[in-house]
Amino acid sequence: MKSEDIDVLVIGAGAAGAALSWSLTERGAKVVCLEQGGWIDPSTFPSLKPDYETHLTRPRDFSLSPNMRKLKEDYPVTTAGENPPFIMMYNAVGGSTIHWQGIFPRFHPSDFKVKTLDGVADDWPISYKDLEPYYDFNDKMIGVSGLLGDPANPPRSPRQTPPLPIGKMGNTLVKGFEKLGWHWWVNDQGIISKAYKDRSPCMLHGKCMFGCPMGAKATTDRTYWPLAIEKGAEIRTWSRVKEVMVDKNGKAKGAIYFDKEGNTQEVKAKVVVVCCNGIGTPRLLLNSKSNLFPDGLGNSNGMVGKNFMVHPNLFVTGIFEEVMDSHIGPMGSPLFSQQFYETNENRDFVRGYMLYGERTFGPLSQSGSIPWGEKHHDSFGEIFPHQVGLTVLADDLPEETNTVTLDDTEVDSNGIAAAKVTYSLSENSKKMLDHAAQKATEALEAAGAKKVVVPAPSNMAHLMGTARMGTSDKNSVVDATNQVHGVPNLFVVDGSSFTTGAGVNPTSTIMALALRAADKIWERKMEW
Amino acid sequence: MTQKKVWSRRQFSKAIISAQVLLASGALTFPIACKIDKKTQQNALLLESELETLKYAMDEIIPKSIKMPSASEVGGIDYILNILDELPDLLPVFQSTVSNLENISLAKSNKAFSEIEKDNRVAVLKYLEKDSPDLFGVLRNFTYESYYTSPKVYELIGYEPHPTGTMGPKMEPFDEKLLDRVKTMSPMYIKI
Repeated sequence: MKSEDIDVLVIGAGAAGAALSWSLTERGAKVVCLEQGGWIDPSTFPSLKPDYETHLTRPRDFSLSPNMRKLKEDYPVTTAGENPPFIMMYNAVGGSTIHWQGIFPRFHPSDFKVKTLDGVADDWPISYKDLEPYYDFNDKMIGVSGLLGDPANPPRSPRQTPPLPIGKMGNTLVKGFEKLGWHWWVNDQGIISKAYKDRSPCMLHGKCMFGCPMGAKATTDRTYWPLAIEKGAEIRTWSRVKEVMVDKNGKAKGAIYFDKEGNTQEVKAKVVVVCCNGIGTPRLLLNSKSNLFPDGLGNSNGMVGKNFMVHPNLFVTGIFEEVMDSHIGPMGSPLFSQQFYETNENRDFVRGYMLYGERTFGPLSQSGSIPWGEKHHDSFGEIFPHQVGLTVLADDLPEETNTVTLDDTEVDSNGIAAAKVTYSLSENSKKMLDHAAQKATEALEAAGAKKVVVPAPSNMAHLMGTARMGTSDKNSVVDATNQVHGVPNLFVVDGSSFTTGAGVNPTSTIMALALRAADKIWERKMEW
Repeated sequence: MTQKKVWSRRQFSKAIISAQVLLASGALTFPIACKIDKKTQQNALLLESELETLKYAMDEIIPKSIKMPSASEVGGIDYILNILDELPDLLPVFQSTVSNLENISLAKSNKAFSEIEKDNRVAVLKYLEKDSPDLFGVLRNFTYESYYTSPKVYELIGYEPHPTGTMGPKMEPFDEKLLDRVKTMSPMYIKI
C-alpha cells in the first residue's frame, strides 16, 4: 500500500491493534500496521518440547520478560521504586496474546465508577453498558469457553463453547469454596473447548503460555489478523516505530520507523492509532518530541506515563496429601471466586480482588524452592504433584507516582531510549493483599490443604493506565473515544487507556475498547 | 527457536493448517516426544578430571535415594555438555566452579573433591554456596534442570509432560451440578 493511500496507521499488532485493524478494514478503511516483531512460526513453540519449562527458569527466546529474551525486537525496560515489577510482554504479530493464559473475565460495572462509588481514583468517561456490546461481539469473534449465570457478574451472551474441564485441582477448590459458602464460578477463557471458526479445540496439554500451535487459544495472529489481511489490511513486520510525526497544526501525519535492515522509513496516514501496551505506548509518545510537543506527543498536561498499574498478586499455594496433578489441563484458570470483589465498608481498604485457581507448571518449576542435598527427594515428593494454586489478583488503583518514563541510559537495538518503570504498592493495595492472603489460606485449608504457602507479592503481565481515558483533558491523556487530547487524529487503544485497572485480567476489556474505538474512528471518517 | 528468521504471512498460514491437522491426529506424538539430543563424552568441553568433579558435585546436589537415581545417573553430565555447546559463555563459569571446588577441597582435606568423604563433599559445596553464591547457583540450577527435564525422572515421579503435538490428557467434562448452590445466590455485583 502506498503511503498516500493509507487511511489508518496502527502501531502494534497485539490484542488491541488486531481487533481495531480488522474492524476498520472490514468497513473499508485502508489500514497498515507496523509491528516491531514478526510472525511466530508455530513449529518453534516451546510447548512442543518436553523442556518447555527452561523458558521460565532461565533466559531463552520464549521467556516471559523482554529483559530476559533480549531479542532484536524487544526493548529493555528498567525498573525502580519500592516494588519494582517483573516486566512481561511479547513483541510479535499477536503481541502478548502469544504468551497469555487466555483468562477472559470482564470488568464489573462498578469498576468504571470508583470515584463515584468509593471516592478514589477517577471514573471512566464510559460505562460497562457502553462496552457491553463490544465484549459480546469480541467473544463471538474469538470464541470463549465458559458458562452463563454467574451471580457475581452481569448476564452476558451465550458462550461459544462449554467450560473447559476443571480437573482434580479444580474440584478440590470447589470443595473449599462450597464448605465456606463462598461465590465461585468457572472462568470464561479465550480457549475454545470445541472447534470454532476453523480452529481446533483445546487438547488440554496445559502449555498455553509456551505457544498454542493448535490455535485453540485465541491469539490474534490466529483470530483477527487472518480476517483483516483477507480484507486488505497490511502488516509490516520487523518495523519499529521511532516516533509519531505531527504536522505544523499539531495533527498526526504518520510515523518514522526502522525496517528489518535498520533503515529509516517514513509512512504517512490520515489517522494514527497507538496500540503498544501500557509501557510501549507511553514510551513511544514520550519519544515523539517536536516543537509543538516538546515533552512528548499528547503530553502537554504531563500525564503520559503516569498512573502505571500492573495488578499486584499473590501466588498462594496449598499442599495436599492427595495427588492433585495441577499441571494437567489448560493453563488458563479453571475457576475463580469474586466473593471479595466489590468494596465492603467493613474492610480497611476499598475495591477488591479476585481469587482464581492456578494450574502449576511442571516439575522443573516446582523444584525451584526445594533444598539440594540429602533431603531433596523427600521435599520434592511432598509438593509434587500435591500442590494447588489459588492466585490473588488485586485491583490496582492508579497512583501518579507509579510511572513509565524514558530511561536515561538504556536503548533498544535501534538506539531508541528504553522505558523505565517506577512502581510502589499503595497502602490500599497492601491492605487488600493482606486480606486476600488470609482468605486464600482459608479457602485452601477448607479444601483440605495440610500446608499453605503465601509468598511475597508479585505482579501480573497487565500493563495499564499510562495514557488513561478521562473526563477532562486535565487529568487524562485520551477522551471517551480514545482520542488523544489536542491531537484530533491520534488515538491510543490498549491497556494504557484504562482509567482504573479493576481486579480482573484485562485482555477482554482491551479488545472491547479497541472495537469500540474503531467504531468511533469510523464515525469520524469525514474528517480524514 | 527460529523466530529471528523472517516468517511470512503465507508461510504462517500454510504451516498452521498442516500443523493443526497433524496435531489433532496425534501423528506427531512419537517423533516429538522422543527427540533427545545426546552428546557423547568424546565431544566434551571439560577435561576428564573436571567432569569427574562435576559428577560428584551434581550427585551431592541431587543424590541417589532408595527410589530415585542421582543427577549423573540420568545423564546430568551429558546434559551439561549439551548446554555448554549451546551456551559456550557458560564454559568459564563451570570451569571456575570446578576449580573452586577443588581448591576448597584441597584446603580443607588436602585431597581431590572426588576422593573425600561424602560429608566433606557436602561441606565443600556448602562453603561454595556461601562464598560464591553465583557460581553455586549456576551449578545447582543446571543440575535441577538436567534432572527435571529427564524422561527417566518424569517416569519415576509420574509426570507425563504432554507436549503439545501429542495426544492430551483425558479429563472429565465440567459437571455443572457443582454450581447448584452458587446459582441460587443473589446478584453480587453493583448494578449501575
